Amino acid sequence: MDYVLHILILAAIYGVLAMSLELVLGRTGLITLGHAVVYACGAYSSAVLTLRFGVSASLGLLAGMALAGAISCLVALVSLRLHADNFVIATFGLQVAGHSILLNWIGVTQGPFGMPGIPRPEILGWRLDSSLDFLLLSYGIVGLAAVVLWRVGFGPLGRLLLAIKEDEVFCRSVGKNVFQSKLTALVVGSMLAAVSGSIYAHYATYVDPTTFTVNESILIISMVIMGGVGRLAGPLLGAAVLVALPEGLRFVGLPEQLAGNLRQILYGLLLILVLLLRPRGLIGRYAID
Amino acid sequence: MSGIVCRGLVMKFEEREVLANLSLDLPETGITAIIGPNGAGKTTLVNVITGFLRPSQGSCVFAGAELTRLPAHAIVRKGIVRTFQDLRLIRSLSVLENVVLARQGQRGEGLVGALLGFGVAREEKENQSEARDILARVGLDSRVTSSADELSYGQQKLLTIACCLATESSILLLDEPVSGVDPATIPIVMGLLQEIAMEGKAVIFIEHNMDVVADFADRLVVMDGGRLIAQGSPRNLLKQRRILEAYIG
Repeated sequence: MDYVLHILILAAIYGVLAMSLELVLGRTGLITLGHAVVYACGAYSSAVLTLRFGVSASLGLLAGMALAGAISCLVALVSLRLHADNFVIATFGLQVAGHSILLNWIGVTQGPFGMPGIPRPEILGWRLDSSLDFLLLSYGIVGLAAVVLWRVGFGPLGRLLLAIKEDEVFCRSVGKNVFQSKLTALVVGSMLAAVSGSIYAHYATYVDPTTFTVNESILIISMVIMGGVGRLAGPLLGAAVLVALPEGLRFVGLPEQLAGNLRQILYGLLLILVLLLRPRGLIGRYAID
Repeated sequence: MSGIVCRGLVMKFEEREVLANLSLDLPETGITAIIGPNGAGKTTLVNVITGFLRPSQGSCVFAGAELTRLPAHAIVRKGIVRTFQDLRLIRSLSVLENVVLARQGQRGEGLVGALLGFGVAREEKENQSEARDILARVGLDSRVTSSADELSYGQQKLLTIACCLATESSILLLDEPVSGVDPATIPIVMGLLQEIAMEGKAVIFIEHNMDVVADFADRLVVMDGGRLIAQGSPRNLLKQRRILEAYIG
């Protein structure tokens, strides 16, 4: 039972991450390779602040959101006014630099040793000790994130973001501040990713830099592509599938010596197959150009 | 005639001078046609006025604001809107959504408005109602729910004009509004532009079709090699040999 709860909690945490990226990638068309770093901002802010300074989990979460927002602002300021390719490169730079900081700023992050013993959070006197508690919290966060993303991504601002994705020049010609709108999407997406990171840190009670590599950023992109963009449920479904798929493959009777590699190959083949059969993802409304 | 006042505009692309110390005044009312052979600098002039290009030198002033220092979106807010020679619309959105998108100052397009939602639904309703009126005016009221991509070429040109109207700008700069449009639709587009001009707005358009220019423009600006070579009444200018030579080469 705990195993199933664990998979469901991970699906929720990755679901919020994928939904936050959908706003940036799916709605606005910004390809970021640094989403794992803003995720790490939430995780490490919570870990460092609760472990070293004894602050509450909610303060750690808010600090993580603020840090993720500030970092994404900085990246946007230096790269968003340039060509889209520059933004991809800037976010890749953020990913490499961010991961290096986690690995080498040992005085704060404990580097490759990671940070164990992150306390379980307490919300209004409710201490979240069990997996069931975390399940409720994580799906509560999914609900809140969905409300925020619905308001941002599916009203006039969402329409503007979609329009910017399709034709920035047209949007500028009818008086739209394209930079400001892209910045808004990026900051909101990054802050929500930090929420995921904070929940993850308190759930796993341990963080280390291996969780926040470029592979993680690519995994989150895969979740968005797999589920499809243009619907809130798309990235949630993509996250659920990509969290559950490797677990499901454990139950396929593969020879023990080859099991690890074969699972990876099967995982890759299944991804390719889905995308060949459903180019817009499983339930996507639009293609990612 | 105040309108847009451009002085000493120079635009260089590497070694090539596309605007060569160009000074001209564009009026704030009536219909002005800008003509000239390919490479005369007409579209570059529109790009400079609307903030899509920064000139190497010179200034353009409108209503006390130096346009060459403003970004494109801020120039629209000053009251100058433009269309493009190659049709630009949001093809994945409906005809109505394209026009609503062009409305200015939408609360729901900001983060606070989007999150809190106060008054956004009402504002959206008003914008939709306004957009329907504009679409009725340009003759696209039966296509509001169609995607922009489903319209004919001429209808798409009308939709770009509808988007301009939705911005409530006082000056419309149109880059070849009837090029590629079927002959039957040309009088509809130009009749609409005349109506707009009669409301006190300025319609400034680039055009190669001399019949359209002769029939509809009140004023003509002739450019060649990045310079202003003549301006005045179309009736007089279109008879002048040097203007015809600039065109024919």
